[in-house]
Amino acid sequence: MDFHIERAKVLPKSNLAKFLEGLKNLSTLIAPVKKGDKFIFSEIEKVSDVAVNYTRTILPPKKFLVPYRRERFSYSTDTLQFNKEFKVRDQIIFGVHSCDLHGISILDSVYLKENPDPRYLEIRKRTVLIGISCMPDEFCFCLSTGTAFPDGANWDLFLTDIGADYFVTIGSPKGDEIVLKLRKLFKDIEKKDLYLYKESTSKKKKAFKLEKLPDLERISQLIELEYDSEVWKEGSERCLGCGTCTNVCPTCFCYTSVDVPTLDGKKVKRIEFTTSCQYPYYSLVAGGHYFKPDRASRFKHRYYHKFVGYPYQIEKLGCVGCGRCSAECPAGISIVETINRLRGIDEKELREATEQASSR
Amino acid sequence: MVRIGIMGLTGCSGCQCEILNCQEALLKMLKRVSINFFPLAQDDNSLEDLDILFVEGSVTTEEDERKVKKGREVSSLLVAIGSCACYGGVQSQRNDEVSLTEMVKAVYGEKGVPVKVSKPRAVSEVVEVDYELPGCPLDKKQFVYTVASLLSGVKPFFPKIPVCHECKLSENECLILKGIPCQGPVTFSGCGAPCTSAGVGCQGCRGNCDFPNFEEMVSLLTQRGLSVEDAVKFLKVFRGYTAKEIKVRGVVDEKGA
Repeated sequence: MDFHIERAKVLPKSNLAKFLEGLKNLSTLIAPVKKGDKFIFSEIEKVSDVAVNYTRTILPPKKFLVPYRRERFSYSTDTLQFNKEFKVRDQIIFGVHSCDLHGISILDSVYLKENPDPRYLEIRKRTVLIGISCMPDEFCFCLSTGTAFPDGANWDLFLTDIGADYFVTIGSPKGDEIVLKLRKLFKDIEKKDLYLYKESTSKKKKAFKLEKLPDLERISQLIELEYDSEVWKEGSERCLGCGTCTNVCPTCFCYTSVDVPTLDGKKVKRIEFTTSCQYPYYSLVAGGHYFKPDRASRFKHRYYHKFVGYPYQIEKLGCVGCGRCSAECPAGISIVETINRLRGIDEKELREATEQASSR
Repeated sequence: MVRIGIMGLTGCSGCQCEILNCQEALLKMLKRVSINFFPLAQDDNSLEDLDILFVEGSVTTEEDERKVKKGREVSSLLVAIGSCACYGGVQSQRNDEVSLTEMVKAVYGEKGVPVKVSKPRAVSEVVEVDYELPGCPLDKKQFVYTVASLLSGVKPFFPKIPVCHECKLSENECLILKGIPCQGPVTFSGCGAPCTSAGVGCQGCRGNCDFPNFEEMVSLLTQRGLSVEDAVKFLKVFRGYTAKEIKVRGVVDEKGA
């Protein structure tokens, strides 16, 4: 059998609608759509709804891999018979930015590296990820986290905007299969396409304001060394503890569960739902003890987990620089600002704050 | 059969109506419970020997107090439903600002009111309360879940997390960032964020979440045009006696404002 994997193809922008239509015929299509002034990932009914040029969605595509609320199992209270109703469907998630692909790669490590989660594995096997290139806005800092471009191999196709066309890189046999099925829509790459593709990398890099980007070198050690820093307390005074930062994070995965009985008392459902380290009850244990009783310790916890916890666990930072936590925070707390302050970028200001606190 | 009672004190009866609106669930429930006391909905009522008593409304009249004390005596569990019963309700939002005489005069004029009244109080300020289901009105799903849990002998689980949780997971644009006054970050969730999903700022009807950061909340509201006084008034509307937790940055603990 002649077995051949294409490396890359070119998709003229005029063929995008047909391409999306083709994807929709293959399985459930999920893509970004406009909601008010923002964007969200949503199941697509009409391919004309797909928003290709979006900056960031409110929630990451994580919600289609690890639902925010789901039933784990149910059991009968008479027979103690357990029943799992876990349904998986084929899905194509189109229009995923590089940072979110890296976010999914982190989730892959968390869920699959040791003791693979069978549900996650099953969903992940039946999910096709099609990425798309993007330009940063003032909240993005993926250049610092090393997630500005789709490295790695957890995606299937990636569309890079090169003007009149998309340069389509193929990341997996699944991606290759899609290109093969819809091959009439694609052109072969020419030398100029490759040139434009390479150029797009530096174009994106140049779009960042370098002086605004956080320096994440040795961030794990830094955060451990600054465990008692005043920066945590200052940040936590503004923190509302609303959990928005973790709910919109592409790599947060904490959840809790509760058993819900039916009214007749014959069946109990175990419901899992997302929770956040920013909520006091997250660290509440029997007897009423809070392991993280004050806001500063909860505020610190998130940074600690992202920059110290994840590296220990999966040898990668838990932050992909998508900027959602800063963009969505009602109090306007910026993760970049906090890191800069920890680094001592605002050293003078910081010293004054520390002096003030000690004289209080 | 588990004996249930549903009692109304000073309030709009909206929460009791919400219970009646749980149509299908009510039919299922009736297979396991008998409703012995529910004056709003049925004729023969007996306030004796109850397993669970749901109480709506604030304790405002002498009659309210007598009724709720009797209710507590005859029932093993007492569940306060709605924000009036849980916190004192909108009628108690000025409790710390004016005297009872001024209140009565403002509402009823010189003639006064023919019954003996007090400032509106939450049920928990008068008798011991086992569970609280706040909201204006209470959430039907939470009511059904609470009944189902209590019938199965388990404690209903209501983490006091902020409305932002449910709002953000519904993928709403943050109203605070849009400049619309919203109390989501300091309000106990469980409602499913229907107001913010419709573009209306959270009014705080479900009361305080755990450890609310009122200093920042007031500061955010004032940055967007409200005066400190208005911001505090806005936050006090539904919070009743729990409004004493409201703190303003720079102001050292002066009864909330």
